[in-house]
Amino acid sequence: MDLSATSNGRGLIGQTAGRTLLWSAAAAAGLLYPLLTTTAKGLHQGVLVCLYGIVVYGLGFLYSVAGQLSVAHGALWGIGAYVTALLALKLGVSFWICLPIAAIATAAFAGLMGYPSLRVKGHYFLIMTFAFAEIARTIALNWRDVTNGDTGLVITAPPDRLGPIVLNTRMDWYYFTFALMIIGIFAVALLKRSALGKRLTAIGENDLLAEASGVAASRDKVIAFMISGVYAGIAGTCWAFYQHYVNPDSLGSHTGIEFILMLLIGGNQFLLGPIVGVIVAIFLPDVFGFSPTQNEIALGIALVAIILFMPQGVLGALRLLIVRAGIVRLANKVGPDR
Amino acid sequence: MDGWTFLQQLFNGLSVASIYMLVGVGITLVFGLTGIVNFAHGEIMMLGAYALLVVAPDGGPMFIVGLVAAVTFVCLVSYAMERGLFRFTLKRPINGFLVSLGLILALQNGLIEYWGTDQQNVVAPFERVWQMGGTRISAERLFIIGITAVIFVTFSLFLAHTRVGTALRASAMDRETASLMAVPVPRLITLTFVIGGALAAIGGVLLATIYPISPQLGSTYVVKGFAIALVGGLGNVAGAMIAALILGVTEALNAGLGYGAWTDAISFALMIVILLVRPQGLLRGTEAQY
Repeated sequence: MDLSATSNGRGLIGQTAGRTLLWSAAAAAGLLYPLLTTTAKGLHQGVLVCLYGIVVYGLGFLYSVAGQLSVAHGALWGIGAYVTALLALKLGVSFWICLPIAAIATAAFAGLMGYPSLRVKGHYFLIMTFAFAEIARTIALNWRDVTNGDTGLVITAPPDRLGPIVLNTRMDWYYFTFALMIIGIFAVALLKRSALGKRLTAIGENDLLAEASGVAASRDKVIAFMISGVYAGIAGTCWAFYQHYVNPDSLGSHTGIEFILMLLIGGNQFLLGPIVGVIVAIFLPDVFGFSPTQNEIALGIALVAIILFMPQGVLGALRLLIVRAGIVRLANKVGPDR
Repeated sequence: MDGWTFLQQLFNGLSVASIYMLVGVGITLVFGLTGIVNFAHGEIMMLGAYALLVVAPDGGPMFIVGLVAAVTFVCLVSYAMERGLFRFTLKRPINGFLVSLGLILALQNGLIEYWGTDQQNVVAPFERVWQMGGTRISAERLFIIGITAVIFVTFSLFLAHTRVGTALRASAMDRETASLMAVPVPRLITLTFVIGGALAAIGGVLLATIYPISPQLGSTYVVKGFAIALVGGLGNVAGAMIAALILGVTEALNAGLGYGAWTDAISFALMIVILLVRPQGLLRGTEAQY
């Protein structure tokens, strides 16, 4: 049906030689990236790509499978970061214990928020996620005793050693987060093929029909939202330790909007889509020499343009170009994805 | 909280509720007709506030010019947005929502690029304050309540008694049937975006007369606007007005009890309660399924 055949469950990664080649090249580029980049900033951007990548793959699972978007992922990532920072600072909990606790905490928050709003129609959920993001930011700003207001919390200690895993340098962090992201991508691919994934696809196509066929749509949607929340929570935990501080800026709707943007730039129907979107969003300011504010303006305009002119994202446009040029002959005709 | 403080908070609450009403009714109108969740509505409001800052930062009689300029400017922007962007998303309202997210980033950071994130002050057109016992009645808050009341009485009459108003209500109920009855639905959608923009611009201008403004304020107000629209029943104008009153007054009374920092969480709590207890909103919205 299309090159990104994972959505119809026909193959985990590759059926065609072309796709295997593509994936090998992507994996090799990812593994070799730290050796190719010369600056500390380049490596830092690499870590950011992996961290955002984890969140955006979680978000992509929610959107491309269950057909549900969320602005709350910025807040969920922030909750993961704050839970970790508080555990580490107040109780001296190790990074490796924080990781699962933060994941459970974000899943819990996602469930609490998702339960009332996912029972009703889709846009209620969107509105709730936006409100949730803004409220999370307000709480982080105002609950000074716990969150330290807009100064945020500072973590100085690096994570403990876990067996062979040491996280001190940027290089360590890069490979660690890269590995986490790869695990995340595989988990998404497996989840899509699971019974839950199939039920969610049915819900995404037509929720009333799915419910009529005995799918507990609201329960499955809440579960999907919680799973994608776990991705955000895990990335948030790593971010808190890697960046050494958390502040309210990372919550709020803006971060959430940026995640959505990263998902859509690449093209959410493609398994490689999220990572392409993240790379574009992170390296865009460098390419054009934008300030952070100008970058946000450019990204906003880019999002509008993508929605109106290439709803399949950059990869969708690229595929169309390649197929039209006759470089790749598809076994089946390229149909419109949903 | 003694009686005078209560009255004071009630008065303040009414003036804030007026601004919520101006934002929330625009949101509910646009949603009712198009199904688009337009989060950029808060940024539209801030465009109005900043237009006032440019034209009439010093208050006085110039305020009237500033108000007219702000409303005109925002109407033009809303018109351009609907014709240039949202019109192409009517078939899939989710795309309209995504476009609005892009607009948030572009508009908000556009304001930041020009004015920075610092708060800006506009001098209010009226400076008088009347003392009634322990309650201070400020002229500008009274002006806000008065002008909002006039606007909404006019608007309700327009919706209820004119041909265009009837056509608007019919289209909100059922777009296809309305267009079969020769209602020019696309033109009404443009009109709705412009009306929503005008109301938001007035809200932004009035807000600027009582509070300092900053580019990020749009997000706060759009959350409240959506809380109001949702609590009142999405698409229901009267419901939104009632919900705005409830939210504004509750927040002010809450601030009177000394929990001012937490007022922003109230709208969220209100939404959750409504979703759990009465998903169709206080009054029924335009989607009859619930």
